Amino acid sequence: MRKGKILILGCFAAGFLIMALTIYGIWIEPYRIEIHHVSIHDKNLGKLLDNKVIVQISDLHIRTIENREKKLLAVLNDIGPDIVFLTGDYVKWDGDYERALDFLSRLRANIGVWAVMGDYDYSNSRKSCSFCHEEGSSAPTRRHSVRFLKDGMELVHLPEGVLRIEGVDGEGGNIFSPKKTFASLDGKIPTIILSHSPLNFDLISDNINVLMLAGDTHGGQVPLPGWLFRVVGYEKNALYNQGLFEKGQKKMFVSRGIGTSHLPIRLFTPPEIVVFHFSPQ
Amino acid sequence: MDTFNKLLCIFASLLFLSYCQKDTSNELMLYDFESDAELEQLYWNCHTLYSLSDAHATHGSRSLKMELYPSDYPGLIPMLTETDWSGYGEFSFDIYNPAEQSIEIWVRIDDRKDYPDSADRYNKNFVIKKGNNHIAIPLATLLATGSARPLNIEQIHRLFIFMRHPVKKTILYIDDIKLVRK
Repeated sequence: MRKGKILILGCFAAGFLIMALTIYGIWIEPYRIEIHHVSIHDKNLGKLLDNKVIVQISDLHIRTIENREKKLLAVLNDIGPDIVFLTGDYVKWDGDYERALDFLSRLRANIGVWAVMGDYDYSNSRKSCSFCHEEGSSAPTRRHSVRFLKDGMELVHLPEGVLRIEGVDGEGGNIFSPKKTFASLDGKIPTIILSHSPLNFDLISDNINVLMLAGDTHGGQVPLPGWLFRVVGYEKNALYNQGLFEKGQKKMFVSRGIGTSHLPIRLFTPPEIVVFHFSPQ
Repeated sequence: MDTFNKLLCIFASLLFLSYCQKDTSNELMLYDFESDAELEQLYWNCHTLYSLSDAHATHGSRSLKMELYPSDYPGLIPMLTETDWSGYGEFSFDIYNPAEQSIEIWVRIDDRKDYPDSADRYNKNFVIKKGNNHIAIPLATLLATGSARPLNIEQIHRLFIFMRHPVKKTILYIDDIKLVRK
């Protein structure tokens, strides 16, 4: 009888815990945006950027501009970034691109905003054009001032020197030649590579001094061991779930991102705005 | 009851016949470009603009107008819903060149999902003169460029109709993309 009562109480407690975690994971944590400060010690990038406010945002998966997005914009405004880097997945799968474009139009940075596309952004191939072009036209869009790099590169001339920003297009972008190469990369000019998928990190030689910023993983959205991510087919999470990675001279930071996909839940993986602090070694 | 059983048999027979009926039409239309919905079935990529046009239709009342801008490989990349081309003898389409000068287009066909290298897929160029051009490719001639390996026509994954490195903006009209039976 006593054991029975303990069992029943245990079941109730477990059920209550599951319910509490579910409520927290769906309605509370996805809206608790953290500012994550990350220090990068790099001789080249440090000299160039050590007095600049550099921000990364990723995986917004915007359905509509609601409290979370408004809060995000307010926080960004307070931070006052010099450069904002966006690493893809601005929309829900085949969702409303207009809300994402509206959000992009509200982004501000002293020097500029650079971005790459993610696989979700190509979920509607036709609408994906609106990120860069006026509708039905080859003319550049006037909706926002974000500079999308689709397997492209820009040199940004700063008072301290030249920064090379390279952008890797998301999956579904270049259907003709999707295989990525980094043959032209030599690390002589301080370089930041924007990539939605962190798996592109493995395509870069370990001997090249570059920093890659990536997203896509959402930090897993719920904490699971790497082997389990691998079992369910999420190699990117198994290898590069979140945080700073270094191999040889190359570095990569993988952001947990802001939004959610598949399941609208985040548990112990809160959304984050990443603020980088660069310093020479 | 006897009447009821007879009616039931007739009904069952009709159902059976409709289930067994095979598509005996001579052609399978892949793209006819009659509605905006078909534009959603194309891969939209930079340097190529698609729109429906009332001009130069060779089937139905509309064609696809393509504006190809100077770039690497601008052109048409349709999403293929029909990947099993067996049972057909020919792939064909009509393409209209409004310019005085002839231009060259390429057709690429992949029979593998994993984006095969150039030597392991079908690549062929066609000269498109001024006016309407009918391009017909016998499926028996679909050989990989490098190895002359016959493509697996039961597994056609990708079709591209494109230009290579055009130096100026080119407008083309395309219509009646189809498979024709032997």
